[in-house]
Amino acid sequence: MKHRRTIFTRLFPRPFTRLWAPIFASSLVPLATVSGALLLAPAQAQAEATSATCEIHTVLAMKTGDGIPDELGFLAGQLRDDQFAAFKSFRLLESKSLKLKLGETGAAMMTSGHQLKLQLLDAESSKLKLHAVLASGEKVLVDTDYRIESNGILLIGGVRHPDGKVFFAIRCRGG
Amino acid sequence: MNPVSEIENLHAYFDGELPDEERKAIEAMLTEDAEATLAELSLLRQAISVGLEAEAEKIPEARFEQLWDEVERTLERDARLQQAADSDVSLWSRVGAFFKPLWAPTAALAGVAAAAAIYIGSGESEPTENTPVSVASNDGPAQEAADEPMPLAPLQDDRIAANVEADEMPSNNEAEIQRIEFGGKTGRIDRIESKQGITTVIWIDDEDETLDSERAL
Repeated sequence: MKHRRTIFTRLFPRPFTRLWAPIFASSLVPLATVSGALLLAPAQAQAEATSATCEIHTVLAMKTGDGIPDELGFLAGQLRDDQFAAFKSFRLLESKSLKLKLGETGAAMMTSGHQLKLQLLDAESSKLKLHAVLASGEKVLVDTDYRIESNGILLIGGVRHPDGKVFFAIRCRGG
Repeated sequence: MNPVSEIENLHAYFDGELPDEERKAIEAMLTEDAEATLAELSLLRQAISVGLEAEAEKIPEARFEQLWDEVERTLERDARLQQAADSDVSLWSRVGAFFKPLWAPTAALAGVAAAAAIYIGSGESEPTENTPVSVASNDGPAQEAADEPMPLAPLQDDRIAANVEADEMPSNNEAEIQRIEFGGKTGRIDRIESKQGITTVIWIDDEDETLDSERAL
C-alpha cells in the first residue's frame, strides 16, 4: 500500500502519531476534572447548607363540605388518598415559616392552639435532618427526628378540632 | 546390447537389481569407455523424457485448464487488491482512521460525564405542580428562640414568606423517621403514594377511638 507523504506525516512521523491517543486522553483528563468540579459545585454547595427555611401549613379536614380548595393544591395528591377518605373537605387555616440555622430551634404558635418546634439537626447533601415537636398546650402530642429530602413534605395529623381534624404539613428547604 | 536392453539394464543397475557380473560390466563400460558413457547418458536422458511425457499424458487436459483458470483468478484478485490499496481514500475515511484510537478515551470520558449528570440530576427533584400557596388566616405569635417554654412570642408575618415561594411545589419525598414518641395513647406512621411521590404521614390518636392500622405503634 502506498503511503502519501503529506506535510503532516513529514512533521509527525508514524511513531509520533501513535502517541496521539494517550496525549489526547491525558489532555482531556484535567478538562474533565475541571468540568466535573464545575458540575458538582452546586451539589457541594448544597452539601454545605447550614440553614433551612421551613413552611408550616395548618389544614383542617372536615367531614362536611366538598372538595379541596386551590390554596391546598400543593397537597391535593395527598389529600385525595384513601387515608383521607373520611373527610369531605379541607381548608387551609394558616401558613407560617421558620428560618432555622444548624442546631437552632424555631417554634411556631398556631392559631389552632398547637405549637410546633423545629430544630435543624443536620443538612447533608440534599437531605435535612430535623427534630419536630408538636404540642397542644402543655401536652406533647408527638416528638420525632426525621430525615427528608429538601423541599419534601411531612404530614402530622389527626389532631382534634371542633370542626374536624387538624393536619400540619411541614416543608423545609435547605440552604 | 541394443538400446532397449541397455535402458532396462540401467534401470536395473540403479535399482540394485543386477547380478554382480552385469553390474561390474556396466560400471566398467561407464568408467572406461567415454563414448559409451555419453551414449548411456543420452539413453538415460531419453528415458527420463519418455517417462515425463508418459506421466503428462496421464493428466487430462481439463486439469490444466482448471489450474490455469485458478492461476488467472489469483492474479486478477491480487491486481484488484493492489488497485484498491493504491486508490485514493476519502477524506472522511482518513479522518475517521486518524481519530480511531481516540474513541476509547472519548467514550470513557463521555461515560464519566453522563454519570456525573445523573448524579447531579438525582440530587433534588423538581416540583410537579404549580398551584400557589396562600394564607388563610392571620399569624399567630412568633418566637425565634426554641428552647423557651410556651407560650411563645409571635412570629413575624409569614404570609410574605409563604407567598414568595408559592409557585414552587414540594418534592414529596418520603421522610425517614429515625425516632418518634407519641405523647398521647397511640399513633402510627403511614405513607401516601401519589403522582407527586411518597409522602410520610404521622397520625396522632389523641382521642379514645381506635385507629385501625397495620403499623399502629
